[in-house]
Amino acid sequence: MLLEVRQLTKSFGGLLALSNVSFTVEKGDVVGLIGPNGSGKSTAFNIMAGTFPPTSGQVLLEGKDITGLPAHQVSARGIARSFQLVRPFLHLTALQNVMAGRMYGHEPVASTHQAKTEAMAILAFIGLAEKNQTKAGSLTVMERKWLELGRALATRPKLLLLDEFMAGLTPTEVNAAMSLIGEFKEQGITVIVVEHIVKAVMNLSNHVIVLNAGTKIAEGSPQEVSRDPHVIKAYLGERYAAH
Amino acid sequence: MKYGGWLIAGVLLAALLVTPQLPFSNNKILTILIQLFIVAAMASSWNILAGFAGQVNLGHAAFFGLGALTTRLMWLDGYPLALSFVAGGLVAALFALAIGFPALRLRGIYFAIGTLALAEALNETVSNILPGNSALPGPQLVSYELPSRYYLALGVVLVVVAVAYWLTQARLGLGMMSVRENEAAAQAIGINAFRHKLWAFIISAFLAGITGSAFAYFHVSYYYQHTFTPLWTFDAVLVTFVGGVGTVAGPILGAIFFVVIRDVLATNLTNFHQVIFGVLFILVVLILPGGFLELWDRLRVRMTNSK
Repeated sequence: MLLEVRQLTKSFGGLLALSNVSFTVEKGDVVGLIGPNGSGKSTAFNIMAGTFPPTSGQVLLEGKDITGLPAHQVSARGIARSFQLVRPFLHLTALQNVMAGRMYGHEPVASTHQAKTEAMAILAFIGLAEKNQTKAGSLTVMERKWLELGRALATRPKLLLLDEFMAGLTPTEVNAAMSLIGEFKEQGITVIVVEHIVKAVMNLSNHVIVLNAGTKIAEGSPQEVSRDPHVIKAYLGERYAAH
Repeated sequence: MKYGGWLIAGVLLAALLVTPQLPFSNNKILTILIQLFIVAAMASSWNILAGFAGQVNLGHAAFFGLGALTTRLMWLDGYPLALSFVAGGLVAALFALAIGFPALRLRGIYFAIGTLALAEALNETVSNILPGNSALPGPQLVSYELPSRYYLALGVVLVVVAVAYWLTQARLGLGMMSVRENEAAAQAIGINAFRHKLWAFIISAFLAGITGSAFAYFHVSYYYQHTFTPLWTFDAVLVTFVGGVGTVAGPILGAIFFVVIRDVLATNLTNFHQVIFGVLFILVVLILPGGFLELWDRLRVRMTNSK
């Protein structure tokens, strides 16, 4: 078991964003975390990434408690993330962006030379090798997403959290993104995807967790979850759930 | 840096090293160059925190003043110059460490205002405790000569530029620039943003401190308070922005331009250089955020494209 989330609860003032949510993630899994707007998936995501601590509950990575650690320490323990609105380092070159990930994070290298070599390999993997000297600010939105992924991969994560990575992509780009995430699986990187695009999640994941109004309403294989009456009700309303 | 850049830097350095020995060298030339070194070192040290780590410090004069005060008092008290010099940098760095913990919790404009307020408080305190003038006593006055001041100031600017260049190549500098670009994203790849800002603050303060030390060794007579006045900060800010913020060469280029304009105009129109630099600053911020260096890059791109 790579990640265990135990009875996670988060309230913002009087609003209960997440209530007693527990789940586990096995090594090599691609887990889809889905739910309608306001279901608490972003809150769960941010707690796992160390953006803010939970009100109560625990997050364990390989059995070690990482609850409430600041984001940079979570990264050092081996959890990397992408941002829903991409945040590459705009005034740095694509190479520097990835090098920064390689020299910090989990299993960093100290030598600039080695970081450069390995960062170039990552840029080649995400198809940006020829733009290594281009400032991130001059890349297209799509390329920036790829770059941010490369920067996250450069930290050598055990677990990669992708926050609405497919949002704003054309169908062709979604396919490219899905095949890339498929390759992570082969490299032994465990992935949790938070997505609005249910189709993408269903194709990609081997395990799906469904949140609604801050609680977990279903969990299982994509096929099981898509037949679950609670899920159908949450997404489509009462009328369709009867079947 | 390309070979051309190294070549220019090497030739320039060699010329600066031999300047005091040249037959046409005189005190006026040396004095202008010392002032140039001090302005360049102040700008470049300010740029390490503001340009690399993205934290705009409007209290930079405090570190210059602390360095100058420490060195002046120790040196005139009979301590060896080398010891007094290093102590100037260390006192400034320790002060940065102490105020960095609260001040760096502030962000953006609040950090700028906070540092300005701290520096002004120090400025007022010094003017109350040490209202007088610091003049060199007899023995130091008799043995006073400019070349040693020149070499110390040159040494300081070389150290500052070397540190700035090293940062552009080092992990620490990459971390600082990542924090400047996006703090949350930097944290997400394992960079401790606060620690990087604190390091930038300490390094920047130490370098401003030793610049103050060079000033204290150079000046025959000045009011203690003079080194704490906010003008030292604002000159550094203007020079850095006009030259190119966040670069190694920018603050140096800006300083050369600043001192040339100031000395050309000072003979005819006192302090008119401040008006010129004020206008230039506004123009740069509005149309050329990268300063002179960006202008140079744009021209170069245009020339290569037209070929």
